[in-house]
Amino acid sequence: MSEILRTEGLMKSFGELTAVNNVSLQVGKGELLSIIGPNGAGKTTFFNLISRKLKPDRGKVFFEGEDISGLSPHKIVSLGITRSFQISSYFPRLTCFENVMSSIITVKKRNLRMFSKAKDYVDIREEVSRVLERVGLGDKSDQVAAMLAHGDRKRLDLAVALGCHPKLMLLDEPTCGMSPEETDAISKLIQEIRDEEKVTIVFTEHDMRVVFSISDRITVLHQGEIIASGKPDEVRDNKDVIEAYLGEEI
Amino acid sequence: MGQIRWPKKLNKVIPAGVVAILILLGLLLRGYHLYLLNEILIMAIFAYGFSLLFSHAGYLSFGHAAFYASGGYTVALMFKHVHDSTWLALLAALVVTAIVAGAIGFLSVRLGRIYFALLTLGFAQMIFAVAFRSRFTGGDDGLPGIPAGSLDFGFSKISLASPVTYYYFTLVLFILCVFITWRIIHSPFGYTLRSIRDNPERATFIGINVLKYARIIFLISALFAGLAGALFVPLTKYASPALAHFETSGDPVMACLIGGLYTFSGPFVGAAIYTVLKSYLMTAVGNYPLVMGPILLVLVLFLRSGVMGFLSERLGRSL
Repeated sequence: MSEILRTEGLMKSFGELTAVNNVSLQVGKGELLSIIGPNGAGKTTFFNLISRKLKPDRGKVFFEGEDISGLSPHKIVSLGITRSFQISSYFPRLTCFENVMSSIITVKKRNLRMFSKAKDYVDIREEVSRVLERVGLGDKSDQVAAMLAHGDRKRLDLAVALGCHPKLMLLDEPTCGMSPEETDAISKLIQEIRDEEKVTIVFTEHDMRVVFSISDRITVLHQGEIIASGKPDEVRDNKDVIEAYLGEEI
Repeated sequence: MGQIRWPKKLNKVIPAGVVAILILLGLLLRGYHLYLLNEILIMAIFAYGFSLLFSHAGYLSFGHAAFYASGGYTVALMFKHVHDSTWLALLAALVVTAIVAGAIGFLSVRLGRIYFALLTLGFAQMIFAVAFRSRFTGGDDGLPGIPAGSLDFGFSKISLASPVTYYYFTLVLFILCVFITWRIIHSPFGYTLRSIRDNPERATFIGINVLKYARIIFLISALFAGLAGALFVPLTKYASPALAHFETSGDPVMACLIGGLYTFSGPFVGAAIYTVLKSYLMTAVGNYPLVMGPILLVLVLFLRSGVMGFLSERLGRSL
């Protein structure tokens, strides 16, 4: 499997606290990799370093072999890395359709067209509908995002990310706060996105059922460091991992 | 809430009707009333520019007087020292405004929304100080006796000295500005702005270069303000430091708040109500801030979506 993402010695501290400590990780093309770890293990910070929401203190990020460490966040998106957020992030006053349309306008580099009607572009309309169908919001196209239920907001966040035509998606707790049924639906959706849209996915997750059922590989972070990495079966039996979770059964 | 069925035809009939009424009023009104109507159109241009920046991109500028004054003074200086061609004067006004706005905008959008409001205010106060003190702007006396200008079409030259001619000239530019605003807000660019307004962080992470588009809309918004100022000075025949005063920066804010920030007709309706109120309160009460204050309070407390926003909610249709 060829490599799509590689980090080398990523470091980030907030004052005394080292949130991410010397993390080197490789992700293969088409992989579905989960990053787990107790609260405060540095999972979100790790995502923030890759997507450049935060600037690393040290270390490098390579995407498709290219060093992207110095690029600004929007540039990184244009190369093909998008992300979702732990607390769903979308455009609250716009409809679901318009939310996804914003991504698609951007990926098609039409942001500066000032005199054509956005909704007249057939290719944009079709693409928006396809993405909304894909995440299961096809019937909520005209709903204003702020009015959506929690689960649908998570889906919309995913749709907004998917609208960017990513090669790699970083999903920060995509099932956070969802009911068991919704959680199953989202895990299925994540697999579908990987299989059918050919997107490499790295996600963080607390729900071990999801992690062990869909991941190709699992990386465990603890206090900012990788303590284990491997196939689900290997990680399940790892002593350090069990210790990190204080004997919680995983 | 009872929703009235909205015949699609009205989408075209209403704007056409408004234009027809404005054309007709130019024939009917004279003297002070025509002047007031002219002022409304200019205020509306100012307000539409402001609404592009604030209502659509989410950047609250407290310094649009800087651009209003840039446009106004440039026209005054052009007429006084260079030529009485209105085309030339307007072109110069837009160029000067673009330069001033380019510098202010470049610096102001970097630091986030609160700082943006304060920085624009600060820059505008600097422009005010320059206008108030410089000799070439006439200091605190300003530049009186500005002519109305003339339109040279090559084959014929039309003087704008008659208030009626000047009104129709303003009306044409007003319609043009409204049309440009309409196109922008429905364009991909318009959606880009609203995604920035709603959630700048999310916008960044779908690949939008937030600063770039913020600067572009800032410039466009400032050009509207510059044009408004450039039209206002020949109307009053006078360029004064009041053009750059903080109160002038408040004018489009008030107009948009009264009319409704998130409706298309809001800036126009708000400009009309605000201009008329201001004018009558000036004469009736003398101290118009005394009345404007309570009006602002009522708006913010009870009519947050403005007059047209309120009507839109009632009719179930965005006006």
